[in-house]
Amino acid sequence: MFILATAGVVAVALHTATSAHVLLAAPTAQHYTAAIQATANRSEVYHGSTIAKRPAAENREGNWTEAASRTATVDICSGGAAPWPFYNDTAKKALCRANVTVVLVNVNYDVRYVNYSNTIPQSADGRGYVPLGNYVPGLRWVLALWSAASGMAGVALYIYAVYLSLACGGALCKWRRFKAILPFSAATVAASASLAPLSPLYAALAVPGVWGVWHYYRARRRLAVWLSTILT
Amino acid sequence: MAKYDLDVIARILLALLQGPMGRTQLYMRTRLNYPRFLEYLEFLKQRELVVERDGSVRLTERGHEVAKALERALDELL
Repeated sequence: MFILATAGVVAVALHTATSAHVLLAAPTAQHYTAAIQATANRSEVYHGSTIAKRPAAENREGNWTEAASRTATVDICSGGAAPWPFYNDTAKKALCRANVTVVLVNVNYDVRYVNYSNTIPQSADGRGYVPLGNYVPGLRWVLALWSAASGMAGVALYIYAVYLSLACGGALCKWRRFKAILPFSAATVAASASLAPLSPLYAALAVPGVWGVWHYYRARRRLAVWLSTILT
Repeated sequence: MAKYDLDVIARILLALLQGPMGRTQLYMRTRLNYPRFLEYLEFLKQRELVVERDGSVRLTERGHEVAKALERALDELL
């Protein structure tokens, strides 16, 4: 069971280690959308360069607020002179053709989504964490390297633990399997460390690993004390 | 021998639990260098856990009890 459980964790770590480039990818509108969903029910993302139609009157229900915007190429027109106006809460605004992403959030619970043209409805469930590297550009490489290194370390530890557990026979095998608890647990911790940059929730995976390490050292110390009473 | 390694002692006792074996075979199982292996062998002989007879190393009655107790402890841990 322990082998299978850690196999799952390490498989994820291997995946992470080999796809650390995910951490290096440019932040997408989805991230920005997700970032605000802690306080919002539904949100939609406008891609400013393709906004061609303002919301229909029947779809402007609820309390729309501009929650976040990403303006890689800023070109915001004021007033209603722009060709693509839209309503932001009660104020009329406009976006010019530009590489602009705007996130609108409807805080009305019963409005599930509104069919704007050229919008991407985003579910409010899950995907709520924006990797830290998206906020601190210099950190992205560090986190990617960290993820790759700890993921590979986890895989190496896991392979060593499997070798300890399986390449043996007889009573000696029990000792080797006992010793394998340590690399198995360490592999789980390493896998957790590898995944942590993606979301802090993955740190919870370290709990069984830390417990395993503690269990191993406690048992080993007890065995050493017991054996010392015999050998001295 | 001032200090001993629990790992090596356990490996020797559990290997001999399977039956007597030649010195060379036991040396290979311990994965120590030969002088160090001889030190451990002497250490266990002094404590009457193993004996060397007819060219093979085997557990004494006390050694067998200790090895069995170690095996039981590992069964509980795993």
